[in-house]
Amino acid sequence: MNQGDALKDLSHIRSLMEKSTKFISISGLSGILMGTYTILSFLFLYNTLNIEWPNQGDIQFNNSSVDPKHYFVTTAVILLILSITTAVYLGLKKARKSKQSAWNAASKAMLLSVLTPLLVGGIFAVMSCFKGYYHIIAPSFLIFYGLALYSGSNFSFKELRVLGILQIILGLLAYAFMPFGILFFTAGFGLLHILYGVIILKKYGA
Amino acid sequence: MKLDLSLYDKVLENRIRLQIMSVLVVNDDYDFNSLKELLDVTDGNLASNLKSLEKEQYIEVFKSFIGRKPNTKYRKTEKGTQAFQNHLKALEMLIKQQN
Repeated sequence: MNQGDALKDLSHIRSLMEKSTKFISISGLSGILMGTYTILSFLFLYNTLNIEWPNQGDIQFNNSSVDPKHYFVTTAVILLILSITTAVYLGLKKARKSKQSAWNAASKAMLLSVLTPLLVGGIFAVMSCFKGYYHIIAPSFLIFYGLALYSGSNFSFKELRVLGILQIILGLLAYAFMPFGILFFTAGFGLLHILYGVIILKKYGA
Repeated sequence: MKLDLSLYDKVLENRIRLQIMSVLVVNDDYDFNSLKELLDVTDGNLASNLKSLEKEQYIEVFKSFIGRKPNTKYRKTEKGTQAFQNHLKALEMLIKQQN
């Protein structure tokens, strides 16, 4: 064994340790797209419902010809489906490119740790919807989503942890300033995702 | 610096075995198929190297079933972790010595 072999061995070990514990098939581009969908959704709702925040009291919808709740729920569902589809599709594409299987031990571990807070958050949002507590949906979604990212970050990019913490903070702020919930949601799910996507693209490529 | 050959591990001189150990050291356990995919080796090659690591008691084997498919998982032992760390030290020394 000579020095060259030793160096090669060490670099092999390093990359295997990374690859076997980290799920890296998260595309930066999907962050940018998800953020863009969110901002477009917000602009759509803002314009069609003619939203206003008076100095006192609740959020106002000045377009009385449509039901705002109906619009909110439909837009949110479409946004979620689009986001998940984009993230999964681009993730699989990235996995193929980096020759990492998308369904490996690291991704299973990550999925498991992400799914628990996400499912609880999802059930909570649906329950709030049926109970008529619409204002609590945006803040709670950000908090649960942030928790999911935080626990998933153990198996992926460390940047995911920061993103999770920021989402949790925005969720708490959204709860504190309740009628402005959708503004915080747009900042969290929109702007933060775009920012995160750009950082991942720059740092890790694709 | 004097090269301490006692740390150098003959069992881990084989690259596949060294790679298996590096995966097991950072994971609680790892199953056969994931290992195979990660290391990009054939069934036979992987199995025989796992066998020799098992014989040295560097790893432990856990067999179970998912449905009807056998699912074999591997775990590092205390002895295996120690050997791996020593081997890394030996590699490090080797590099430093020749610099």
